Amino acid sequence: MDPKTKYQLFRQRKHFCTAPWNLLYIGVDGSVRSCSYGKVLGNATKQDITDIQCNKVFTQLKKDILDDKITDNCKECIYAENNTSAGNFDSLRNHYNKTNIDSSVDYTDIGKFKLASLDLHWSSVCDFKCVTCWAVQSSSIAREENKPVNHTPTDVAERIIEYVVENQSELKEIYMSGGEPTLIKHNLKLLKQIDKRPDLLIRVNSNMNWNQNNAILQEILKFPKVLFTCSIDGMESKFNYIRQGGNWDKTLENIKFLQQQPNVDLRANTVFFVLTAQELPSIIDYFMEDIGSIDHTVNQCAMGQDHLRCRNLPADIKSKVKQNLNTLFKKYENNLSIAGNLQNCLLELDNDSNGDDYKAHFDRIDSLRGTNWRELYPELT
Amino acid sequence: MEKLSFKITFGTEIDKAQDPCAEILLNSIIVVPRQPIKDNQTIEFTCELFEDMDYELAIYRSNHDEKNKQILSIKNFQVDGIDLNKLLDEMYFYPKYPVLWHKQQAEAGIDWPAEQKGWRSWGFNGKWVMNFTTPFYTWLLKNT
Repeated sequence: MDPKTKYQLFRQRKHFCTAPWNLLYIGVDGSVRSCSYGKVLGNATKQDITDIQCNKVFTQLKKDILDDKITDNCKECIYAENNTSAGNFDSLRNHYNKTNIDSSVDYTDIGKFKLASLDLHWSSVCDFKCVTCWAVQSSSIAREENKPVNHTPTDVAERIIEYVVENQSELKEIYMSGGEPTLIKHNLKLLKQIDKRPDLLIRVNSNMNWNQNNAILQEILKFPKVLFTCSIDGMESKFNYIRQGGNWDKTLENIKFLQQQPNVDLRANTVFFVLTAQELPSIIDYFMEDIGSIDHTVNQCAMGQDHLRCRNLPADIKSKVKQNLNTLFKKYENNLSIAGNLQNCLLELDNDSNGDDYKAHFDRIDSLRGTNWRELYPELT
Repeated sequence: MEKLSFKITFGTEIDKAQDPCAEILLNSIIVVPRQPIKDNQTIEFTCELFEDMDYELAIYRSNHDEKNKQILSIKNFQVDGIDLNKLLDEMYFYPKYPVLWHKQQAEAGIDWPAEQKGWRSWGFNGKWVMNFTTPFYTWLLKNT
């Protein structure tokens, strides 16, 4: 591709994104998207990956991107990028544009695809029942609620693996989420066949409760460049309540284990919802200062759990949280990622409350599992 | 071959001195001959570049009498109409410090480095350098 045209697309278009030309995203049910923000554009259980990549919706998306349009598929990502006062907040689009800068694909050709990034959510197998999660993404919750477990069938996963192995020459990043990646057998089969190149980053979003001899973990650690994102919602007994099935002490033990690996960087992720709002500053400080985390992201509560969002906190607590987050924002204002995430939390707190349905949510969980959120969070009851 | 159009606007600040001079070279080949520069003067030139090469664009700044105030600055730097002013922060100026003054500074314990990153205003004679590789736009994409 002509370098000048490539420069113009990357640097002079406002909304250009490489993901539809370079990223293969597989959802828990085999669905294929342009990225984790994007809409479902096909399903690997019904069509070949290569057919999906050049189907009508995919090629139309690429055409719209080349025309610098903000599509329905991309608007959430672009909105997240532009709606923070932290400045230069790296949204997903910028992440993939950086990752794919060396790709040999011709971005002006809407029929072309060259694999550079993999985003694998291809199973909901997980040993946790986090209070913010749902049956779609946790097999443990699905079983508890007698709902089907989402899992890309083995024959489909094998076809995807075969495709990735054959097309791995320019692969720059494999992102594994889930479910819990260290429990998803497809990951082991795939990773065994991927070259352990120093320019390939393995990003793992983990609940951190694996056994250290876990075969998938051991395979991950063979790669020269690994980034673990530790999902941390709360500390100690509050962690154990929120991340049900998990254990705080084991999490810390595994974090220490990863700290000893020279090829591994650590970062943390916290879901911002009614039970983490008050503790968020301590969690971020603990991971950034004591653990030596390279970054900390904060997600807003999603997965159909809007009643858990921080907008629904009691007014007095909401005001205190706002004050604490403003102080924290000042502390991290030079860290664009954390500052951007905190700004999003502050925006969430600006919303009016939709009621206190979160109480019924936790009461229902407690009646199913014999836990007691009211004892841990009396101020929210 | 890759053809690039450069457009550099200079600024000057002079007190009882002659105009500063600039000479522009690409890989030691003169592309703009040495000439006095006036305030707000724009110099435009085109270069044809071979693929997969290392290049050095150099501006030799001269004609400072080492007595009176005379500053030459890059006010604006464009390639093919693209504003690359931010990129100037990553470039180096190699000042030719006045010998006696430099010696006095050293004796006073003040160490003036041989290269100054990001200097776009030059109160000393010296050489400003921009190193890049071709294809230029691939280099630019990775460095901006």
